[in-house]
Amino acid sequence: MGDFIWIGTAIGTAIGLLNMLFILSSRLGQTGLNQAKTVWQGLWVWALWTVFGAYVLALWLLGVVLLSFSRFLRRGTEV
Amino acid sequence: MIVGKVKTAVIIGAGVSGLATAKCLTQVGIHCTVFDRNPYLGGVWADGYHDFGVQVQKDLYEFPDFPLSEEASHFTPGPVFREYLEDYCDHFGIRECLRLGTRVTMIERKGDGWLLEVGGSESSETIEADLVVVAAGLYSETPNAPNIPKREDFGGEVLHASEIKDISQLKDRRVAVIGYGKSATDIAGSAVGVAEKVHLVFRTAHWPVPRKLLGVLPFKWGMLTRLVAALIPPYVRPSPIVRAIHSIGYPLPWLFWRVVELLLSTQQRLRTQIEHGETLMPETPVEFDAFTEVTMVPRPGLIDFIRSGKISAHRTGVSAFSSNGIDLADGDSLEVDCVVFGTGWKTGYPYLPKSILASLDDGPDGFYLYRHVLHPSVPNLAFVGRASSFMSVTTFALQAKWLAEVVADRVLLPDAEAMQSDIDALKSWKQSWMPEGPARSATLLIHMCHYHDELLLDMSADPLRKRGFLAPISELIVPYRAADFRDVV
Repeated sequence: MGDFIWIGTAIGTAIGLLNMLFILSSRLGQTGLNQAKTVWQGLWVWALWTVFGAYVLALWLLGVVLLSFSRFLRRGTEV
Repeated sequence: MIVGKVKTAVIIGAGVSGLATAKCLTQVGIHCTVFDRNPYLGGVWADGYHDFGVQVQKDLYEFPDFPLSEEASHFTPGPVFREYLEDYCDHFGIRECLRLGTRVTMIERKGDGWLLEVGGSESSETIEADLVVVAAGLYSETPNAPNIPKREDFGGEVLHASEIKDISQLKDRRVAVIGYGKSATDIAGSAVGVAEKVHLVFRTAHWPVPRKLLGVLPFKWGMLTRLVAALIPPYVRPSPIVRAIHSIGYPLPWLFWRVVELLLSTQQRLRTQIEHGETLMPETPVEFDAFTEVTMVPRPGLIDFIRSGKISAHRTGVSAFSSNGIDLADGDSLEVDCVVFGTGWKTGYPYLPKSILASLDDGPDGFYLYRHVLHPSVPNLAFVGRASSFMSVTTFALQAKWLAEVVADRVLLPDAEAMQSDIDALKSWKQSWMPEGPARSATLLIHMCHYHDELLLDMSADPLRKRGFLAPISELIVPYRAADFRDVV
């Protein structure tokens, strides 16, 4: 359980970092956009991905199982 | 696309979009004349069916710069909204622009501008304008009534929902309401207890969105946030994170929408058995069904009426009229003396010549426009209000502001080739996944926040509208309200 949380958090941190970099690169320097707000937004996005990374991973795994099951059932119906 | 210096504009339609356009263009010094064929302003809000009203909360459906009064109810009744539009008109001093009861019958090109033939019931005249803005909405032209065989055999009355001004018109009658959209379900619900018998006949079930999810949370919190917008089929220009969510991360949005379906079907008891063992369960997944033209927030009580048999629901088509009712495609015959079509409106622009419609590439989806407003092939013709959104008033106000900024040269448009390529991308994106329909080109709905972002960026305004220390969280999970756009429009 502890390992799973660490793995999820690590994945979340990595995705969050990429998401933050995208926000910064797409908004910084654009006319009319508040630069401080951009940095604040980016940091929050990173933090949220990090905090919820393990939960997102858990939901993703649940989704993988249920989606596979659903496709298997649908294939059975179509046959 | 705008060519030459615009000094005068004609706006066709005095509804929400027409009034917002008149306000914004007037503010940049354009002389505007607003024509409406009706003798009153308000467009679809001027004169609706019995007990019509707004189907979303009032903080979503008001002008950003002119809030509805505190006393107005959460779901604004139609007549109240019409009064609100009158007040808007007076507040911004645009009443003198109005020429009500005057129909635009024809427009044709003259130089860079336009020549318009306009007329009332007694006389007509020709006027010139540098810019024409069509603000007549998507569904304002003609009532849509399906062509059902043997109409002449039917001895009863056939009405369109828009003709039901007072529900007592259905008193003690046996009524069949055709359709499953807002007007059909509103009329059917209102007819319960008034009519002798109420049937609701529809071919396709759609996911009804309750006013409050789980009876607690207003639906906007579950449907109209950026978080949810990231989980619907991605926008035409998705961010890398959204692209990732819908590729390797696909099980996440899939799981989310299945949970939404479970909640909606449980809360609204969509597995309720209706005629012939059918149920109210839709066949299309909710994340796609949400983009059909029938997006419904039914009034409370509709499903209860169906469950209790006060409304007899038939999930089938109508094959023909008979002398005393209608024959259904499932073999049943309904004995009724009044048939009401709650099947919406046809889209049409009868004053636009065929050559212009051809230049707009008008097809089965309607026509696609740059930012849903302009087309590079038809300069100085703009459309405001040709976009369906859950926050239509805000969307139209932003469109109007964007157009005014373009006309004032404060928003620079790309060249014609780039605009056309943008339009082509929008078209192929929509056609790749969005349900077919005559208004597909104009459908935004849950994608409205992405469209608003584009308009705001064009106007050098920040798309992130929330304020305060927790603004980044609010951006994610708090739905936008009209008031969030107050400083832009």
